[in-house]
Amino acid sequence: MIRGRVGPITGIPYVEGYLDLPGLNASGRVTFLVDTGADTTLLLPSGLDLLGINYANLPGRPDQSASIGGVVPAKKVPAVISFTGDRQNLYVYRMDISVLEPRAELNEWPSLLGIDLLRNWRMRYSPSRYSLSFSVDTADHIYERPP
Amino acid sequence: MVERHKISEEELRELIGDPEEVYKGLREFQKSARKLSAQEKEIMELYPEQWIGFVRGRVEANAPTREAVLRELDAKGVDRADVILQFITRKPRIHIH
Repeated sequence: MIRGRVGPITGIPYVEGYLDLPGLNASGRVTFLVDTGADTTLLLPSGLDLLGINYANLPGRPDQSASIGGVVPAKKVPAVISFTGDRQNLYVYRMDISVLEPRAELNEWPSLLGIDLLRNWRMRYSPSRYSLSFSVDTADHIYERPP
Repeated sequence: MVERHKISEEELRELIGDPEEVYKGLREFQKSARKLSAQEKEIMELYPEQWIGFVRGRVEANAPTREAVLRELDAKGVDRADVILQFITRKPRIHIH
């Protein structure tokens, strides 16, 4: 079981993960907003700042993200994302994520955990109880801590 | 039954380093994040329309811009790995993919 969190006022669901971008020598802990409306997992400018990544220098396949605010250029990069579980373990996923070009309209947004990763889990979201948890169906690796 | 091990143990260490360190660091980060959610009401009252840098269970910096928060945290010598950077607002946000 992976546990996220829910703000008691906003009801916004978040989960924390460890993001590694192999080949870029960049890694760090990231707060993701859980977004079942997002097709792909997105790293937004606030996440870039914390990982010390300059978008202009970022290699990656050209990509784009379409939203109600328009189409935003992006770069697709290989990533490894890890989450801790209740049983002293680490669930690890290897996937491509989109890094969005920094723009003023994206400034206030956290990074988004999209359906490409969420499809590996069963989500239980209860804003009235301020709880969010995920049962894991699939993972690319499960690291089990030594007893 | 969880399907797993598309990544070998050896490959995992090449990709993320020591998984034990990742686990411990992430656990501490999650504890801090839960405190942020628990304090959401107070934080919304104190820092409306502000960016905050939340570090190890407390607001360490606040400012109208993300850059100003990061400058303050850097000046204090705070490790960015421990920082939750969040914009505090009650305004509804719409983002459809």
